[in-house]
Amino acid sequence: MTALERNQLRFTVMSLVPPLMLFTFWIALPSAKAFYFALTKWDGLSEPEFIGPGHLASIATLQDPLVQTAVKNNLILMVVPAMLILSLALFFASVIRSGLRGGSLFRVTFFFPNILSAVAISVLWMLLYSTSGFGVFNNFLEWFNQSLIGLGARSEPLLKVPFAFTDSSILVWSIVPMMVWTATGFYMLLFFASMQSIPESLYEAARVDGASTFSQFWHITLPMIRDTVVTGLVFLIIAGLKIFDQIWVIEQQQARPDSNTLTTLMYSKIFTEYRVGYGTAIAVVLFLVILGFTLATFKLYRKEALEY
Amino acid sequence: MGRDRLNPGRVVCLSVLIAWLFAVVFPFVWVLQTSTRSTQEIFRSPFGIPSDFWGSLKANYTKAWVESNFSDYFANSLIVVLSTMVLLFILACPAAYTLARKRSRTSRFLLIYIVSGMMVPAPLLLVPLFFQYKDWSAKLTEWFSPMLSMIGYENATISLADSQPGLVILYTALALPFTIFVLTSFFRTLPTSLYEAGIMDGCSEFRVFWSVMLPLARPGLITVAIFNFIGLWNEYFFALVFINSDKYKTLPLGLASVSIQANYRSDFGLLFAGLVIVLLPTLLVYIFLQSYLVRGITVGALKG
Amino acid sequence: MLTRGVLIGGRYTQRLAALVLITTILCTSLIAGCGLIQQSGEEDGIPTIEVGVFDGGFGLDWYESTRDRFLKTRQSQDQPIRVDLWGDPRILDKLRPRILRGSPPDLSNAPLPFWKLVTSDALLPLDEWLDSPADDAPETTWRETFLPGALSPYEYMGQVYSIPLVYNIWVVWYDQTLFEQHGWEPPRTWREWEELCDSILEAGIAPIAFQGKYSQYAAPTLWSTLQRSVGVRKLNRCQNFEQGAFLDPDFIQAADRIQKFAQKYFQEGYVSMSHTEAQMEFCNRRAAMVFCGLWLENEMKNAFPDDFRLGCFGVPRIEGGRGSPRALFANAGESFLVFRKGGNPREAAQFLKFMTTADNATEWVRSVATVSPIRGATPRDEVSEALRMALDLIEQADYTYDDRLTFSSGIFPSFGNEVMTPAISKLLSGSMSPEDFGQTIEEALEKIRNNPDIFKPPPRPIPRNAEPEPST
Repeated sequence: MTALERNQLRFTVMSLVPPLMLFTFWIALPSAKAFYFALTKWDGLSEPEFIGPGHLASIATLQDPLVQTAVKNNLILMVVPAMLILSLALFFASVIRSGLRGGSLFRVTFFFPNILSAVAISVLWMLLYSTSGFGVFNNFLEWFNQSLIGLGARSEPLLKVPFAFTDSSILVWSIVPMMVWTATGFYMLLFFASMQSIPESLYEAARVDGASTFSQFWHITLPMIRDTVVTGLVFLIIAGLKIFDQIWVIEQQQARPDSNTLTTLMYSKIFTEYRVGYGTAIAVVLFLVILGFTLATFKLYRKEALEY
Repeated sequence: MGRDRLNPGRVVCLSVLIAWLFAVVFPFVWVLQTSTRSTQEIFRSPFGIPSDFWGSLKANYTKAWVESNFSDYFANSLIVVLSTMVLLFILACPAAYTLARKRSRTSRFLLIYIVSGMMVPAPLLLVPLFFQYKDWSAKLTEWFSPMLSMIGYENATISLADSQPGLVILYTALALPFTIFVLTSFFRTLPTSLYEAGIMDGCSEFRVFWSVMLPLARPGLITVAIFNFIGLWNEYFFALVFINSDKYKTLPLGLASVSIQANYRSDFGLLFAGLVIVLLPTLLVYIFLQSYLVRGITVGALKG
Repeated sequence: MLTRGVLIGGRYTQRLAALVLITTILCTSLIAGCGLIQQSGEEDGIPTIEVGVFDGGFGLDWYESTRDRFLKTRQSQDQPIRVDLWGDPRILDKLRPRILRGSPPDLSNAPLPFWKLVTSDALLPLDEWLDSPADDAPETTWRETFLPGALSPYEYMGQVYSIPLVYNIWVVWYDQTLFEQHGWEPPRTWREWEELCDSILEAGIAPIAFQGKYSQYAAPTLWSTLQRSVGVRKLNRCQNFEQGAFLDPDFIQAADRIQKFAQKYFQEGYVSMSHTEAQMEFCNRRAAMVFCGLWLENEMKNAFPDDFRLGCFGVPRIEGGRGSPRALFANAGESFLVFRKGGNPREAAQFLKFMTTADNATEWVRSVATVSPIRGATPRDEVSEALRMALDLIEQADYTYDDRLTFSSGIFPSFGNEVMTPAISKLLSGSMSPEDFGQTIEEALEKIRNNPDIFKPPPRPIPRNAEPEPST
């Protein structure tokens, strides 16, 4: 081996070994261990006891009513925000792309909430939702009620005020606007960038043929950015599965049965109930579902390039 | 679709956009303004002019910054995130460079190995890492206790959990897959001709990496640094589990516990001020760096 | 300028050595300064104990002054000690990971899952100290200084694992000034109570402020209602999670009574109120009564208007009810346990013993207006009027009963939070019928009964002086 080759080898080894070791011991091995823990009954204080896939089966078949509620909440958070965010993002991106004045202002502002911490956003919305004197939404509802009465349309208040937006039983629904507010800007940028690669010639041809704006969008824009939209959809679905911070902060760092998601349930099983094996099993199920979704996207990507 | 044609359709679209703009901007303006009012005034109504502007402003912010330790939380976040970034780049850049240059099967396997780490969700790692830290801390204490007694720490234990180094290493490991993924694809775009020129001039491998390729990769480095910084600055889940003492709490953790205390004591002036303290730096940094972020997303979108 | 690199020795090695040196320096400073090295148990040869206090309604003042007294006493005995005492209303958040990690504090009164910790052998049994002479009365043992029944909730396999500082009862609080102004009287029967509430409603005041976010605040009243109707035996069966206890029509009827009461008389908007918010409503006289333990006076001490005269009464007699109207919902609380894995558990036990000497207990009563489980430690003439009324209730009580299912220190961890509290909440708001309420709890308990892994403490006997079994 020449001196040069030895030098190269040394560099290669030294550049790869430390990060690989860090990755293996902090990510790879622990992930594998998680699968083992999920097969045990363990209270974290004594020794784990191997019991096989009992926990996993119980979770997957939704035996525990708490798991049922958590899954329901996760489903709501996987589906509803995704649909709203993608629609809004597509709408905004198309509008801005079609040459709206001040487009960059919109792009820059809409994106900002996305870089804030989930904790800060949760606290912000908790204040907006508050039922105390300063809650903006409740004050608005109150004003709305009073205006209706004042205008003579009704003699009694229409809406129930103060409305407890952050009550556990409906918290998940109140989180939907929060997610939409946070993420729309990011996806708008993403779609906008994707749209840039669509050649203008396609649109001109369509316009010559007399296609409406909407038709252009539906038949040209959407198919061309299909992959990006699919990626966005999967990201959002997975985000809905992993969500933790927002629920945890608004529920004051406690797990409540009505507003549990799989992650908060896992946390409570481990740290409050000392059921570490069961909690890890929840995490494993979560991981497998995420894996499933990720693999499914690869199938959804279009293999052939579009001819145009 | 001309640029300046105003038809009803476009007016509607524009109004929706403006409405959204308002929806995004309003909460921040509101929080800022409300943080200048006293708690009693806040309880009475969401909007209003404070009667003693400087008085309530000072009260709220001193309570937040000093008494509620936001200054500490801020410092902790800064220490942890900056240390992580340093360690991260020391580990990731050479690795990404090597993986980008070598096209062997091993290198492709290693790349897939590391990048697949991006799919591992935080909850999966929680329990194994928690108990791993517990076991390793015990072992480290065992190995190092003679040495520690020598330097005066008699009954001390080494603890990875509830310590900043423990968190820093954890964050670095978490950020590694994404960083290596992005940097590898970035390094791949750099021309090999430059590398060959450097070698022919007699540079060591490291020299070529350090002096030639790295400066060229600067835009990519900056972008990935910014994205990592944001993610780590806002990290809550692992900090929640691994940091228990107040003195090591990072900003998201601190904000969460202050929000609980403020609710408990009904002291909302404090909470509004604390929220501003958390939001303002991010906003300022955003104003200066948003172009990098937007560019990063754009490039990412076009690539795939 | 690109120069020829050297492979061995020379500049390359120099640079590498420099890098290693810098890294080592950075690492050592990081390690020393940022938490990697943590001390416990002993520092500079002086034993150290860490005490984590649940900073709830009682505050930290007494704890801090007791610690100071302890330090002085130890100093005078030439046995110095260090006590690291801290408090947090959310102490559970801090302690839970620490316990799992195996580095808990020495002492804590946080509402932890006591039974889980006991059965996992995480706690130090205190009998060695209980059987030793009391610090301030060497002719008796420490154990003997406690009121009867104060220690029995914390016994497992004949050993005691936790020491209470407080004897607590749940009552209905009211403002005597407000009542006098309107000519209202504390009710002696349930019907009188409902009539009183109607009058209060007519006066434009909400009858009951309720801590909606924490529905467990209604549990004592629910149990009292059951007891007042049919006596304590059925309550005891529920508390012993006997099969079918929660399907008993008497239990359902008690739930129904509470539900109707709540729907008519609880303050509007109570659902989202935290305990401090609801109690504020009470202090501001927007509501006339509130359910709470004896810590209310201390917790809200800065919120009472000057002319407020706090008073209390127990849940009134139910017409035709078989249960003694004098019986009280009472529990011992603020109990401290000692972790085996703490830095210095033996010294911690000594501190605990010190905290419960008569002098310190009396100081406690003076400072937080509550009742002490230590015999003779609650001086009648030194406590507030409200507490005297509570003491009267305690002295007149023929027996007491409590709830070990709903609160977070209950026998089944998370059962309170996951089953009882949401069910109570739904019952109160009317979204769950009393039948479903009983059914829900019964089903959840059935699962626990059938689960061999969950530790079930032995059934408790009915209290002495309880009503005789009805002849039917």
